[in-house]
Amino acid sequence: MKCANCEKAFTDYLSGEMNPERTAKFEAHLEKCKKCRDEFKDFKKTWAKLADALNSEKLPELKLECSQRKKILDKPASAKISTSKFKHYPTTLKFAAAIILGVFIGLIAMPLFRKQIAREAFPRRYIHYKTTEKSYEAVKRKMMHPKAASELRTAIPIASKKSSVSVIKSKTDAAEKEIIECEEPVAAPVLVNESNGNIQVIRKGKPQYKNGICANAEITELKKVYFLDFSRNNIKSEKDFEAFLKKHNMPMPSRVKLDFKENKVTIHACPEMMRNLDEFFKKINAPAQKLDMPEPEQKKI
Amino acid sequence: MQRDKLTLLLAELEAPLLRYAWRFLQNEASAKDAVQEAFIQLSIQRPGKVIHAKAWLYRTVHNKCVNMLRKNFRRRETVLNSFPAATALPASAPDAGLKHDETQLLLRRCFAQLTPREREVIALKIEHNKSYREISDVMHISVSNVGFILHKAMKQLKRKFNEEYAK
Repeated sequence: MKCANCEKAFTDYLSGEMNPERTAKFEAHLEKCKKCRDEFKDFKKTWAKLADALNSEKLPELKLECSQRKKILDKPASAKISTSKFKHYPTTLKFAAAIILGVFIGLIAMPLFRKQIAREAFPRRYIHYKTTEKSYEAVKRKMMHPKAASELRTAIPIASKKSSVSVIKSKTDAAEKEIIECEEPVAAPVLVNESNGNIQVIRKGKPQYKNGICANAEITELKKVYFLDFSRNNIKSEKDFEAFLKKHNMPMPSRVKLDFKENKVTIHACPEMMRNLDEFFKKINAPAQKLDMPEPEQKKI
Repeated sequence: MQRDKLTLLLAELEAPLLRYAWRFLQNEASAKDAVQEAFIQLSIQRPGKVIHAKAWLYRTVHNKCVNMLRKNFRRRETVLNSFPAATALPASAPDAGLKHDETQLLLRRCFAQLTPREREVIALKIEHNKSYREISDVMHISVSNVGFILHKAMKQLKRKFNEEYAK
């Protein structure tokens, strides 16, 4: 062991923290080196004096109070000590941090739960009712959500009390197709989402087609195209067409599209009305009756 | 922790812990609070969680004292600089009996001039007879660092004492 290392070992040796091997080396060096031996002697004296000075120092009489001792020995449940890491932070700061965290979570969670919140705040509503309303305007007024009302495609004026009016608006192409193919009128319950106004057609299971007819779809609207000679019937606008139908005691369908170029009219109507319209247009488009006209004179040669 | 074990620990460690806390805080009431809180915290620990209760208590008292000092920063400076309380030397001490007291006072004064960390290591080693490992647990430093700080502190103390004594 060198002298520099020996000096570093003084404290460890006096503390009793040296391993036997190092202790042996240290003691061997002390026996050989007078300088280190004298220094160690001096160091040891200071160490002992310091221990004496600190241990004999008159400190105030330190003793826990009886109430403090009782508190320690009582059941732990009675002792309320916060072991939180944050207990040293001021209450205002903790409160502010809690508010900021709450707002942050709300901002993140809101889009996720918006649908759920909307669903609970605006429950869905079924519309399936029988009515004798004469126009879809009247039915539209019964719709609470403005968007649902504006998306009404058809509200067919029904003459018979037994008929039902169903409000439908399907956003899917499949449902559109069903509307066209179905011929039988079926009372159609419709789900209206009051939060966004979407109307959903309610079906019982998947649509099943039999011979081109949708057996289980609950749809009441049909779309058909008819040919009509507008010029012959003096029809130049929708108003003229309405007057034309009125003249023949036919109700005006809710949705009509006139194609003056092709002499076609596209009509959306419930199947019952569509049957009436079929007969009407057959009659209208029938060839003209032969009139009793004098035969032209044959010229004599 | 079980009540009987707690009672034994309280009887054994109340005085040394109070002494240790007092050296830190230089305030009787604060020292008692720190020790009380440490024991209460020990009492609410789950059985088996605290393996070495003595070391745990010293560590906890150390942490409590440090936290208390942090709250009163100005007081901390005053306290640590007078850790332990520095006392003036008597004007003259011709008798041998008084020489011993003088030496002790001088040593205490030199001790007070060490850094807080050095004073704490020396107090834990000499006054409380803690091993290097126990001191490292209490002060959250490595074992080798304990030996280094202790050696440095003792060397510094010896040098100052010799200078003062020579005057």
